[in-house]
Amino acid sequence: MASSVDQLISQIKDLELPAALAVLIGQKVLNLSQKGMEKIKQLIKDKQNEGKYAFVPDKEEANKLSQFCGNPEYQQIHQLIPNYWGNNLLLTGLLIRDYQEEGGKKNNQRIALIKKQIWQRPNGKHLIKVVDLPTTPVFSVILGFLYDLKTSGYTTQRRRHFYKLWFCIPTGLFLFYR
Amino acid sequence: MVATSAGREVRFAKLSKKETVLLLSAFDYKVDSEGFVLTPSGAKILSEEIPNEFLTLDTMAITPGSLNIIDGTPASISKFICERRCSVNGK
Repeated sequence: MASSVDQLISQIKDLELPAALAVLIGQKVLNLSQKGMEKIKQLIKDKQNEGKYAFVPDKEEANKLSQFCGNPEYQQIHQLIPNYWGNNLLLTGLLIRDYQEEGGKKNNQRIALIKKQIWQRPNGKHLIKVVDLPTTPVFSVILGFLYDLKTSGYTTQRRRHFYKLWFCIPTGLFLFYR
Repeated sequence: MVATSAGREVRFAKLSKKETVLLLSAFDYKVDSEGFVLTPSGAKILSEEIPNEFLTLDTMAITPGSLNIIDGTPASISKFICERRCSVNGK
């Protein structure tokens, strides 16, 4: 057993964590909490602790969300309303907008599921409004409005106050704006 | 495979169920017959997103560093990305 453990260690020690796990599975190692697996267990823990990977259910979707950090609208809102709790939901909103633009049954089903998950959360009705914002033409209007406030000398706190007011407006009224 | 910030790059990856169970076992976490993730003390992990639901292999994500299990929903991953971005940028 000791030699096979040492062989496995030599096989995986220089590999990235996902590849190391794949090799172990290939070698029928399915559980590291068993006796005799301590060395491999520590090696896997060390690799996880390097902090290089986030393991997610949908890699493509997570990569999209990450890319939306570079979206000019998202960056603008981040500058205008820094550290606002709802900013992370705007990334989800941008993802939904992307799915809407792509269209198709699969994307529509995914949008419905994402919204359902948010709706189920405490204060879900309000959270949905934040998530929906990037999917409406009002988003660019709000960005322009907040930018005007900034250039007029309004503080971040005052801008945040006006921004929060938008979410108190009934959703239906957005349809009549402009 | 995209960085959330300069300097501390994090890559997103998807593991098979067997690989996820193996990684969890390195930290003494287990998965029960229904797919629920169990902590080393044997407790199910409550979802932070959906009230009264527990995380399963299909609904969880593992963030970098020492094992940290979160919801695998887009909203939860968005939060992780934003927090990481802010912590790295020192905001």
